[in-house]
Amino acid sequence: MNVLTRRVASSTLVISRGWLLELRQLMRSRLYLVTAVILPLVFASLAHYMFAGSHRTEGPLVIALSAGLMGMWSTTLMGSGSAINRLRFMQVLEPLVACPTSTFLFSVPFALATASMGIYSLGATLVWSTLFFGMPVELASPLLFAVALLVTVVSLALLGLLLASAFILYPTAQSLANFFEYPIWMLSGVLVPVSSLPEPVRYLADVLAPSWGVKAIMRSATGEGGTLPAVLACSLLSVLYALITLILLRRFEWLARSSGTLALQ
Amino acid sequence: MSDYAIELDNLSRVFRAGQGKTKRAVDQLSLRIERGEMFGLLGPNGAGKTSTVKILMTVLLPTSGHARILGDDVVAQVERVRRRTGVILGGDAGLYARLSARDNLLLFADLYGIPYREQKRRIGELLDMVGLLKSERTRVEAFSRGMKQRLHIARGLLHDPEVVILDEPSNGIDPVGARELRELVRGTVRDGRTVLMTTHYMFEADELCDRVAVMRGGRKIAEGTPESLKKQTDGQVVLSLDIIGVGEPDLDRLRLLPGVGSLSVAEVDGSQRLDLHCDQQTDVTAAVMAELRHLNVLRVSKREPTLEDAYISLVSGGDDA
Ligand SMILES: Nc1ncnc2c1ncn2[C@@H]1O[C@H](COP(=O)(O)OP(=O)(O)O)[C@@H](O)[C@H]1O
Ligand SMILES: [Mg+2]
Repeated sequence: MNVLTRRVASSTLVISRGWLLELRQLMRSRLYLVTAVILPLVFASLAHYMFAGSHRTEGPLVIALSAGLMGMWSTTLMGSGSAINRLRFMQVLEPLVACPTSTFLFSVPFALATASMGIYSLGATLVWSTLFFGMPVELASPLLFAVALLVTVVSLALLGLLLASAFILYPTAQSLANFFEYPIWMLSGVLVPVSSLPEPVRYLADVLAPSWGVKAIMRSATGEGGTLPAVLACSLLSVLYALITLILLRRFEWLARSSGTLALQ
Repeated sequence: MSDYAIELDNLSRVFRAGQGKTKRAVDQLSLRIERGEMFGLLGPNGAGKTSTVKILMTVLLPTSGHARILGDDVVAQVERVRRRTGVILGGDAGLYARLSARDNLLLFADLYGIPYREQKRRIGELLDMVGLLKSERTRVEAFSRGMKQRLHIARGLLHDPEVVILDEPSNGIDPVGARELRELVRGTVRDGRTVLMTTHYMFEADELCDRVAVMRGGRKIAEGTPESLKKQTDGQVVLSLDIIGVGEPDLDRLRLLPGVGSLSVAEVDGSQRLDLHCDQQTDVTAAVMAELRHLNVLRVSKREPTLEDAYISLVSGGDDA
């Protein structure tokens, strides 16, 4: 038990410092910073015009939230995926894999870093919506909202990581992730309510952790209840993702060593 | 427990080269490197040195054969190998360019499981050793090639590995910087470590290594102390010609002359420098000049073979794989 505690403690330290260093790197990329400022603005105006020109019954808060979540999806999912390719491009993928700790340990920080940028993106969209478009942000339950947001972001990071594990093997998998972006928006109830989707597709939405997260966020914001069950579903699915990723990463690392694709070619 | 620090048994690695073709980067390579030894893997570009290093650092699987480090198999006992081996791939990339030197080391110190309490001291020591203490807070993207190379070395030694593998440590570095780097590399063996380094400079291997193996086309073509490799050119002289317009058919005819061992051609300022490794006993000058009478020969000279000649005679002789 003592060994286990120590392992967990040291892993937590490794992950949190990796997270900070990863954020530091992102902050030093001018291109990244510019997109991080502009994207939420784009999403906020999108939300505004969507609201103004439609007969949707949801309140302005829900619309602003939807737009913010779209931004969060993009930032997080794309971020984790491209991070592996960035490492390969920088030629640090091989030295990282050559470390005795598991591949999971160096992958989690960049997933978390992009997820943090995702939270920021959501927050910024809400702020712009309030400032420029007069969409009041009044949360029914700020505490639950914060919890739901946190859980959602972690689930997004882990989903991104799950997809990213394939990137270790396939340098061309970026197009795969781009391909996933829109279907997952749909499934997560960001663009349209999941209930309006055909039935088989709805089941698919149920196994996506972030779609539960989105539900939890919406419910805590509007105060309609049922936040905690959604948070729970999101957390359980996230743990499942982490386990699958652990297994896949090991398998993919083996395959990448066999094909020689850890190196930049 | 194996007696050897590094042991390769018929190690091979085949890559897919597109269009259904394959490329044998490492071909039936066998080596035994003793503990505490400084061993040089020598060979021209494309000889298979980096592929061998990557198999040893467990980021590339061998297609066949075995490799063991301190008795641990690089395929079956990956974690043990990773803990006890330090790899310095070097080059312009391979570091987090937007982070400082210190942050780069911190990140890897974590991944090597170096306890928090020791990290500060260890990183300080290493930065001092490689002469980067003053630039520790500078972002790596602002580093010169030589500084990056020194940071690579510091990172490879973070976990105080028993075996250190360096891939072409002085490649692309100016002569002065290269000398300092060799000094650093020499320092790493002092603490009883085993060092395997690759290089395509014979003089570098001669200066640093106890023993060397020469690779060409993935295969080992010679092995021994630098001295013994030099002896291969005993009884030889090098006939050196500056010439214009020498072609493959001419070279083929020259190779057939009795007394001519191997030959090499290099471009020098618009002309070609043709070095023929010849038997001391037979004077081939007249025969060579006769074969080349249709060409413009600018200069002819004879000299004793150098170490570099020994190397060239090795890697340019025989059939190419
Ligand atoms: N990932 C790869 N895929 C295909 N061919 C490769 C790969 N890596 C190396 N090779 C080929 O294997 C041969 C040996 O390369 P390498 O080990 O880098 O040699 P060296 O380091 O001695 O220059 C070269 O012909 C190179 O093109
Ligand atoms: Mg090489």
